[in-house]
Amino acid sequence: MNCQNHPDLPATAFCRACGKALCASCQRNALGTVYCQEHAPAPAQTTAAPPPESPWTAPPTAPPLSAPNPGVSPGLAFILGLIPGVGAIYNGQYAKGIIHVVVLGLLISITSSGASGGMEAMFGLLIMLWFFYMAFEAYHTAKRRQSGLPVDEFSSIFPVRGQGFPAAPVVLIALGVLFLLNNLDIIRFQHMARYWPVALIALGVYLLYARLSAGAPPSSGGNSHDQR
Amino acid sequence: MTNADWATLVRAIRGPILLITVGTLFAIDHAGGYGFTRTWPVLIIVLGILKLLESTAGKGPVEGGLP
Repeated sequence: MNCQNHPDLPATAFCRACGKALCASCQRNALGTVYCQEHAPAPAQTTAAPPPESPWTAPPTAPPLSAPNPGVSPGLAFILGLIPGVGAIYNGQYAKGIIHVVVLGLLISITSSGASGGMEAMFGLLIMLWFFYMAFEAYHTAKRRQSGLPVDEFSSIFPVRGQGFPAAPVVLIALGVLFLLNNLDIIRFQHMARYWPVALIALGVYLLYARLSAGAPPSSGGNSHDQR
Repeated sequence: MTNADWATLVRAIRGPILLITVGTLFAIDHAGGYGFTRTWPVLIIVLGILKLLESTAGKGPVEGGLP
């Protein structure tokens, strides 16, 4: 058999798409096999994805869903979310499911091993709170997926990137420092409890900062009619 | 360094940094130092620092470079 384009040349291969006999000059190698000129995939598609613009590898994100996905059931996500980590797995967020389970395990370990520095009751309540947070978080994520909104792999109910004062990180760091000082026997909670009004002062300073900073978004308390 | 780059960097290092922290704490525990039952608040502090770095992404260029 000879090449269909050049009848005087012997065929060396056949197109994978149309079966046309091809000579050595007509065949196009792509994707590890042979195509004719018409069926060869565009070279732009054969190359790998363009290199990311930033030099760091971002953590994998769930593929953004463009179309509404009616197959996702928020109610089922809530029920599955009562099982630690399974709600996130239902939403396709495997890494977040692992994180949820690890956080729950840490909370239970802290409570049961007596490492909480005399605050077992607070950690017991935190465990319950975390249980229901996982369920509600799975519910809200499923609702977003159902309506076709993009979902980050590490999405949470709370907006991560706020514009105002970074309150959540400061609270986290302060809590961590307090527990560390207590656990290392530097300052015990019993001694710190004497200075609890400092928390009121800090809260007042924060509210003052929030009210006086120009262009700050209105506080989440819902007082949209604040008089200056 | 643009804000998007900074946010991407913080998001990229968040998981590994936390894993390294957990590993270090358990290593200290096993080496006979402070037990994990006493050092676990370090995890909260590291998480707070990472969140703080992430929240600076929306506020103009970052002065301090990489640690």
